[in-house]
Amino acid sequence: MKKFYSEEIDQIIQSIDGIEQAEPSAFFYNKLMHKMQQKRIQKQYSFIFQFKPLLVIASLSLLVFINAFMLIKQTDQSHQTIANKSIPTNTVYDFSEDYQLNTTTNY
Amino acid sequence: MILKETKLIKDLQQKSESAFKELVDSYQKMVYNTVLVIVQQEQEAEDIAQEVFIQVYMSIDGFRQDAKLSTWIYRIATTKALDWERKKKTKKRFGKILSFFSNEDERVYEAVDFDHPGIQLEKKEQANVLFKALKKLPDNQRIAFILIKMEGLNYQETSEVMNTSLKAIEAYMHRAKINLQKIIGNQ
Repeated sequence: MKKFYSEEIDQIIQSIDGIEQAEPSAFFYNKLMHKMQQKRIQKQYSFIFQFKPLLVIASLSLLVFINAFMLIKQTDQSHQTIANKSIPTNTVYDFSEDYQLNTTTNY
Repeated sequence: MILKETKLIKDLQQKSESAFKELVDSYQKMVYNTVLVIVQQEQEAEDIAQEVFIQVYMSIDGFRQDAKLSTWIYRIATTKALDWERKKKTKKRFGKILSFFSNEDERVYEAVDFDHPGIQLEKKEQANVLFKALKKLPDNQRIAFILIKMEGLNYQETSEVMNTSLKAIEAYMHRAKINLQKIIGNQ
């Protein structure tokens, strides 16, 4: 490691005297405008989704409600169908009528 | 000059795009150079300088004109640059902690020696030593030193940017020089 003497230290501190200004890139303004545009879009996007948790909970609740509703409705319908199918009175009567099963015989 | 500045501020408050372009054209070099010597990385300095102008655009309505526009912009620029440095230090510390727990290398790499493009070739080596030492100064002393020695502001203007008294600036500069001598001497 190099050690500096006091004279050198003073020279080092003065080395920035007369420093020239550095130039930012030629497209500084264009890049800045692009960045601002991006930020604007992000802001709009974040505005839409600022209620995100609420939106997710509401959507899920709606989905669960629709599912439950459909399930209950379907179960009711199937109960009715089974009930209807379990007493096919007309069909049995017609069948026995057609084959004369309800007539009494001597045999 | 004051009238021109007042008109520019008024136009900016009305969100005039031409006024904003005028502002950027007038102050981009000043902002970029101030940020550059603080963060000592060209690409990062440009990003931060852009953030400074976005901040100016967004908060110009709240600018009370009790200071010059340039003073206010210097204030935003130095604050943003120091914030960036703090975040970088936190990230570095966090990276070190993470590297203890994972096999992957989480280190945040330090940039190599900073080469300011405005330094004369024969002074580059000495300037590199100074820039390295500047990083070790306390923030107040460093900002005062940068604004006075590099940006060419006088003590009064610097006190306005740093929102402190003239005496405090004199003290910062005095201590900055002593500390730089110590830091460089011990390098």
